[in-house]
Amino acid sequence: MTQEPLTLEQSYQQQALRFEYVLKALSDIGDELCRVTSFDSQLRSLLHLLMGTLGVSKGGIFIFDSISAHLTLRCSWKLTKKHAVFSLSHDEVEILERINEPITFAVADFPFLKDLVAAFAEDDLNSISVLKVREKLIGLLIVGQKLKKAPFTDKEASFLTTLSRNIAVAINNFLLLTELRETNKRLDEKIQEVSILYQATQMIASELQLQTLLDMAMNATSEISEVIRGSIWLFDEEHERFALKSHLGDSFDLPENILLKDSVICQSIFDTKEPLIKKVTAEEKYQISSLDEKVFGASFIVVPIIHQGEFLGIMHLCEKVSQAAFSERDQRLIKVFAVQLGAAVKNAKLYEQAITDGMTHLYLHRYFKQRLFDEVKRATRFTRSLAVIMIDIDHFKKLNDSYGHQIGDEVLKRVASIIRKAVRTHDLPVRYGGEEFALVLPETDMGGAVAVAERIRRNIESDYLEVAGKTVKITASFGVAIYPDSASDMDTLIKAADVALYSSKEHGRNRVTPAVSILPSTPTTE
Amino acid sequence: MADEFSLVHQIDGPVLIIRTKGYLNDLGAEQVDTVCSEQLQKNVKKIIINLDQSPLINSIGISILIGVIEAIEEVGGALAFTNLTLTNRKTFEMMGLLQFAQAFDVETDAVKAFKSV
Repeated sequence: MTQEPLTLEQSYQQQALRFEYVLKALSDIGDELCRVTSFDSQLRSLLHLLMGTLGVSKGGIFIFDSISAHLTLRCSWKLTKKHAVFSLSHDEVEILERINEPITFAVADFPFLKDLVAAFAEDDLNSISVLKVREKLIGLLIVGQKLKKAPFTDKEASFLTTLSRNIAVAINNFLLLTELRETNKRLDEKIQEVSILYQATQMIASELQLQTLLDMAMNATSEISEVIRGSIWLFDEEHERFALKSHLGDSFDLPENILLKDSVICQSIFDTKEPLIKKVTAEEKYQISSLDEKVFGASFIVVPIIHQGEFLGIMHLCEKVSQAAFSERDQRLIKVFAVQLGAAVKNAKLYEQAITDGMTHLYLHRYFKQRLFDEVKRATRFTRSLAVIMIDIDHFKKLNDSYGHQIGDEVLKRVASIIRKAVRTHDLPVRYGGEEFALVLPETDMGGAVAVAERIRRNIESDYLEVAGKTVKITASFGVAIYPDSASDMDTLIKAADVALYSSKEHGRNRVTPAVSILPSTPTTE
Repeated sequence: MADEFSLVHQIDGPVLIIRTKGYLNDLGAEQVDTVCSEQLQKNVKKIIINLDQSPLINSIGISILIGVIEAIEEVGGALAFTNLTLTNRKTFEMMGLLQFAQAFDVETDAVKAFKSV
């Protein structure tokens, strides 16, 4: 096929068309950068754009990693090798980064990276372009021959240089964008961490009931690090032991107390006041006592609960939902949370001291009035019953006079202990004053309250003390009143229970008397 | 926005006919290369690419077609394009594609020409 020579006008038209085509390719590079695709798919598009613009059938893009100094073939089309990595020396990197003009070389004239050129000898490459932005090496572009090995015209060589620069900028922008995305992701994670911690600490900060606080803290830790087993132990300085206060997951394996001297892990944290994070290897496993392994598991985090230097206890976490090891993030969050927990535990303990009686560990009269007021309101709102039991130890004055105050105190402690053991979590056992006790039972009717009172009465009756070889038996009298059956408000409720208690005393003591109902009796028909 | 690229192909005796649809710019256009490579391996050496439904072709599409031309040249086959727009015809000429492939107005002409050889 013979071609007629082009006229000057036709030649200009063809050149204009060629420039238009290259401009379109440049605009496509811009479009490509705006597409939300992966880096690899963008690289492939850029490579195809370049190849299609120059009219070559094969090519590849290498990316340079400045940290490893590796030049890696990241994208290729029709090359014999799909994977290739070359390690660049410091000098080679410096030379490539210093290249000004030209950045594009005929393969035969490329004076650097001889091993790379040799590795692609089979591909009969045409050109190599150094991809760089300012003084930063981005990578390398290799391109094959045009159809029938037609040589590049000067214009095409110039296009290759221009497109190489654009591709270098595009890759650089993409890498910067990726870095920005990574930074944003890390920032989002931080924000999420702070948010989780904020919610967890908000939850525990205002809680003054120690038990509720510790249960909340345990649940919060499961939210923070997805643990399914864990426990909180408070330190009892007097007995040098840790008492189990709250736990996640099964507790049947857990003892109520751990003596400091029996646990290497507890002793270590007590001594160092530092968290202990352990992924126990098979080798280490044998160095852990069976008690420690039973309590803490094979892989765990144990953090001290400390407030202003005072060691309050430990929080232990093990076994994540995912079975994965604790991450750096988990460790960071748990440590920060434990600091917050320290302050909250200290506050709750102080509050507990303020509302409980030091000798019997029952609630004080002032707290009783405050709680009873709230419970009456709640019972009214939800139309529920509320019971108050007044308890008085029989002949306590005589007992004190006969055996002394020390024995009197011992009796008070024994009765308090019996009352404490008989109540539910939400009941309120109170030392009302002297030898008088009270018990507030929410959502309890007369039948239920009398049953509780009877049980306590029997337990007191069957208890005894040995004093100087003599057996001292004690009994107590009970008055039970129900809101709203026996009274219409808090004061009359206490009064009704008191009157019933007085009735028990009047009728021979060691008995339970229910208060008289104030409700109109329902007429019965026979 | 241009439609997503797709293609169908058909074997008509010794001829492979590929009909493309959509902007020949996406990496999906690599399918043209894949189909041609598969059929060349099966010794189908005459290929017609009908671009009636692909009026827009950019340099990504050109690069893939160059690859196809080279592969056909290597086995001594023949390639024809049909239903080219005026712009595409000019681009193909400028990039030298029509030095290695024939252009026909319609697919039937190309089939007739390939079958008569």
